[in-house]
Amino acid sequence: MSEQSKKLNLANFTLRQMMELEACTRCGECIEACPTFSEAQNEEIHPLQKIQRTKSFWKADHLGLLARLFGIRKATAEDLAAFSQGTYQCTLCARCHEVCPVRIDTRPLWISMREQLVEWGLYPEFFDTLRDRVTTQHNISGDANENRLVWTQNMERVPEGLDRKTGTGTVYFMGCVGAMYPRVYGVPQSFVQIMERAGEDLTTLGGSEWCCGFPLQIAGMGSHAHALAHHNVEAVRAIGARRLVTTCPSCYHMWAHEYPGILGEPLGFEVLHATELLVDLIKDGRIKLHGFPMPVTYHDPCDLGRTSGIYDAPRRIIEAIPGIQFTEMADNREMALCCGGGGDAEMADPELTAAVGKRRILQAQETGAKVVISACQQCDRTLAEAARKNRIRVRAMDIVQVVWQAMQG
Amino acid sequence: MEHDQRLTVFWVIHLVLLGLFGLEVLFILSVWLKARIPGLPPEASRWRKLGAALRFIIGVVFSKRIGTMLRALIVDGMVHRRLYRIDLRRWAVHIAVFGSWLALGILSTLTGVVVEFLPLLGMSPESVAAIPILGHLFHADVWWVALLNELLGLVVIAGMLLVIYRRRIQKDPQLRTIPADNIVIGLLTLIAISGFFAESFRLLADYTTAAGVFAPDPAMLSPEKLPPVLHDVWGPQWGFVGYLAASLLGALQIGPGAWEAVYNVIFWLHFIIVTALLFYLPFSRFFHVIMSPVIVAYNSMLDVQAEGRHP
Repeated sequence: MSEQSKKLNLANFTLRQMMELEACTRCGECIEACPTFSEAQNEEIHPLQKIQRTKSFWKADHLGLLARLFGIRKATAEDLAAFSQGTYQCTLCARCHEVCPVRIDTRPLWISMREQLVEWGLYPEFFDTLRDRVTTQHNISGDANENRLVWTQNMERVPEGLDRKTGTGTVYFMGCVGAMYPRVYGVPQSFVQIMERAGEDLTTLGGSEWCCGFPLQIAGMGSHAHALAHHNVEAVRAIGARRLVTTCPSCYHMWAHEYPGILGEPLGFEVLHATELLVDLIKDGRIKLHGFPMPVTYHDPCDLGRTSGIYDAPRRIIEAIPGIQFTEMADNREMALCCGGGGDAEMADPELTAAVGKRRILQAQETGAKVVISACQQCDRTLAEAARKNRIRVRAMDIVQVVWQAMQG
Repeated sequence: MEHDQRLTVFWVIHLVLLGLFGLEVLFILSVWLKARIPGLPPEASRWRKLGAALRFIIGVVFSKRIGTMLRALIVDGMVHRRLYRIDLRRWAVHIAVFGSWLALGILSTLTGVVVEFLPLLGMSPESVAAIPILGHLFHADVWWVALLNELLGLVVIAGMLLVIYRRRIQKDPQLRTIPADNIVIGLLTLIAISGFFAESFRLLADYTTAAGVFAPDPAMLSPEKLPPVLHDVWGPQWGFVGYLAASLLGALQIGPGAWEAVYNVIFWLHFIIVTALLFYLPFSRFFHVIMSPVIVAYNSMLDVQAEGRHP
């Protein structure tokens, strides 16, 4: 095994993260909590190992003789390959952060590690395709971006003003999955109809909507997301909207938490996830819910819950629906299990993420629910796939679809 | 070598080594400053980053957030509330090791001040020993000092044995033990055990008569070593484990000179192990002893301030 010549670039990490690496007590709480490690039992996946590896990398590369004196050797090519595999198999669910006694902010730390791996050129090849697709086609599917409103084609009646209507109060950011994957067309279709029925003035960016940049940011290619952020913000500003709403928690995370940092200034308009808007509209009596007489459970999307702190709004919506029978899953809210669809991990290891999804759909089944509700198109898609593959009779639905059905009576 | 001279040599070397340890930590800090600080351009110099970090720290110290930070530092960083909620047994083991080492460290530092620093200011041993409570630290054979050292040492050993049991015998599936962990666990256990041996041999060296009989009496020590004001609170038997071991070894009826020689060896061995651990600390997992309270306190403020403004 030969020592590798690549040196860890500390500029990929923040000062706080350097301290966090040393603050890890190696207590192992994160090992028990990690949903991917529990399925794969690959030592390279769990948080403790990633931290240990990164610590030895930076010390060997930057502390010279002192590191050698204390037995820290430079990484071999095999070490780096194993580290890369483990880091990209992580779903970035951040469950490890919730159990960490030191409260290490793990998710950004894993992303910084991915940035380092990208700099070293040690990342799954598919991410090159993803990067090229997003930066040239401006969406993750590779389809023509002008087709962002293709989901409206099979609607009986399309609400007016959906395509870049200037002066509209609210812009609906559809997201790549919602706009371009037929499996979840029902989400944007339901959402725009709910908004129309509630009398909410709504438009979209149509073909001017570019990928929010989330898949690149979490892949460790965040610098490529900057142009996307600037474009999207300018497009919304051109509409003159006072509010932006998303049905996708990952897009929401980018808009609410990453874009202001990328731009270096406030956006100048409010950013909401659909559940936050819906709960207000229900409270104001602008949405009338007639019923959804079904046993259901709710899956907290990682990017909506742990990453953005939105746990109550979806539950308040569900509880407001007459006739619905809601039961929490064993692991919920901050400790909710991941569906397996996050962190771009599906692109790195689809079998592993399918196993993670299976565990979650089984947990949904245990509640006796016929429908597992989520508030994320990616979770919706992953859970539906897990149910189908494992012949589990639980239907995955987005909360927006449930609300729309409940409005029909 | 007389005890007081040996202790002076010990404290001088100890302070020099502490300074070197400080330099080691400063070197590591200087490397950390190659990392990014949000809000500063990536090409910002390390001095600029240091300035930003110091401004942030000063800003916290002189703000209302200091209360939040101190609370987190104590409740989560030192008392480990989260671990207590997760598992009471593991919390007890952790606090036995961490808490006892912390208490022993504080006690040693105070002892260093009383024995070495105050006399440097011109105070006589008698006047130092006459200071209420604190003056009792002038000699390890004051009953409550002996008892406290003994109890803390025993708790440390019990904690270390439980750590070893959990890792080597029980093999807790959530733990991962690497060779570097074994080095630190071994050093910590050796320090605690050698501390007891050092104490026993000190008692034998101090209280063995020329005829080789172990017969402790405060009058056997010079007034410089044990000022008369401490005779009323003298009670080495309160350090019961060390005292019992000294009593048993005393049956060998070896002269005080031989015990003195053995004590010298054990004392410096104990010191070398402590020093080795100190220097190894930033390169071992046990750097968390310093860094985890810092990070817990730091992260506690993220709830009250936008994350992007933190270094």
